[in-house]
Amino acid sequence: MSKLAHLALRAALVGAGALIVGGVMAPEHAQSRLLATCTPTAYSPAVDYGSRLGQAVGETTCDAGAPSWSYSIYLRNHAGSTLGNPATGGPFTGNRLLSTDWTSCAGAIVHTFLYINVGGAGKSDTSGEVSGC
Amino acid sequence: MLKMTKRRLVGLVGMIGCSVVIGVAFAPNIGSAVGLLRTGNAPSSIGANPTVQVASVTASGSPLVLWMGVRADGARCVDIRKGLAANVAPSIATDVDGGWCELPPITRQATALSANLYWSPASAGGYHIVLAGQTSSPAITSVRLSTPTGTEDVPLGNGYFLGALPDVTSSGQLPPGDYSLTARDASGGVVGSLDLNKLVAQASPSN
Repeated sequence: MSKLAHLALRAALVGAGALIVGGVMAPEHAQSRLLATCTPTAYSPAVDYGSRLGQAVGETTCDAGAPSWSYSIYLRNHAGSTLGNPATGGPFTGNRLLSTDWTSCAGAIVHTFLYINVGGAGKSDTSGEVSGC
Repeated sequence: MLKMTKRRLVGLVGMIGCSVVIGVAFAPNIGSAVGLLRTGNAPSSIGANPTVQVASVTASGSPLVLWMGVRADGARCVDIRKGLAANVAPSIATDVDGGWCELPPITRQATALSANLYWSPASAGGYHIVLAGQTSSPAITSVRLSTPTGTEDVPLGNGYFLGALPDVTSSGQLPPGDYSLTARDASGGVVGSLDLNKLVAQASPSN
């Protein structure tokens, strides 16, 4: 095999591999563009280590043309129990940062749980945990 | 022979590596899907940016103030502060008891009314419920809260409103009965409404 043919074969293999990997990973993204929707992202809670207070924080981002959405956000401990008080709201269009109020989390390992209902479909996200509150 | 096999193996590993890099580049959702992009705290608060007091009310004997401000990143944020007099400006983050930020590009809301409900412990037991929201249009000049015991206009300023519902025994729930908001224009015509019972039901993960 000539060096040129070998290079062409190698380039073709790289391209085919990229298409396969991209194809496996991309369908959800492609579908979300076809069916405009919103996506919840739960952030690690904000923690005031001095006063030992925590606040659940999340974000909802929407594709253009996505339907209205509503939400509930919770500050939860490692076992999944809600600390303090949830916040609920809607219907909204567009992107928003959301939070609960500040609540005592002394000694707890905490995370944010964010649930949204977008056009009748429920979606949720759970953040990483924060310790040392 | 062995030398050739090693070369081919290195080439194969290189190709797989390139494929993964290119594949991930074509699938941007994967980053957030596995949590790689989470950076921790992103408080939805005005912070130290200039604020405007847009509404205030007394709920369960405590002043409740709604502040609005635009952050340097263009986000339009609302903070709710309890226990501060109406003319006291926010100072530290922990003064904030709930709120939200609209992120750029900020779009006009599709519905006439949208609202948030915040539950907070009451000193006598149970929970207070704070109601805070916004209207979609400056043409809306009043927002009326309907409860089983009657109706009242809630304070409205700059398109934002603030109110309170009767206390409840469990957080995340409304008191018994039907609760709703109605938006009206200057002539008293109904522009839109929001069923709060339906909102809480739709926004619940158990739904």
